Amino acid sequence: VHNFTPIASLIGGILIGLSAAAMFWFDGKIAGISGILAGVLRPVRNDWLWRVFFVGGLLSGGVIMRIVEPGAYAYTIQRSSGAIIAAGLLVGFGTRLSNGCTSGHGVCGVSRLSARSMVATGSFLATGAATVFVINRFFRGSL
Amino acid sequence: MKANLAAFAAGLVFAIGLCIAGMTLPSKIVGFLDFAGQWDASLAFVIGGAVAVYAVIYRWAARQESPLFVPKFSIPSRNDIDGSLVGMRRYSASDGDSAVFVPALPSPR
Repeated sequence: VHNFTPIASLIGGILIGLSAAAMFWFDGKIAGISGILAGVLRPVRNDWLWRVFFVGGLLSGGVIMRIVEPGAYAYTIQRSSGAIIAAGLLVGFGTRLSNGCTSGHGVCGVSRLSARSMVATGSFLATGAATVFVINRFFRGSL
Repeated sequence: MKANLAAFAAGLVFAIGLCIAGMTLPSKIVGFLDFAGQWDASLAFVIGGAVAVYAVIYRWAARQESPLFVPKFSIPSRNDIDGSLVGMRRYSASDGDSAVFVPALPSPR
């Protein structure tokens, strides 16, 4: 299902930008989700509770939207449980390897004109596009 | 406590933004990455909107003496472009000239 949603996506993007900006102005922190979650799971003294609150906010927002806008969850994933677990592990592995994901590198880092983040974001896009191409072209859209 | 509540609110808004933007739908992500198929540019609008807003506020906030609720800013200081950033690690030969890049494992920290 392909439907281009420029207005909704722009509004959502602005909210994400405002959220990340608030994290910086209020708390002095970069809003990198993978890094924040990593710090929840591997606590460092005096650098833990704010992370729990942020992740709690994320999950709460997800629950609220599930009630308010069920369409945001109206999808099925046609993959085996094993494939989904493997994919999740790879996302965690990769984001730790590059020290960030699409929020920390893609939004915050690119905005800060960080060369590291631009390289990382470029590699996310390039490898993601290459993966989609290979899966669609050679594996009929599924593994 | 203000800092923690701000973090909660920021997380809340972030998640709502993701949902409104359509980024909870795997088809929107795959559609953006599918340059050979029917390309869905929506994700570019998400990143574009977020970067435009963040870039302006960040530049202004970074000039303030301190954040509102904590003593100081935590700004990433690294600017090296290393192999692990793109999933590779560099191994130099003993002469220092030749090197190979292989898929990397995260280094223990």
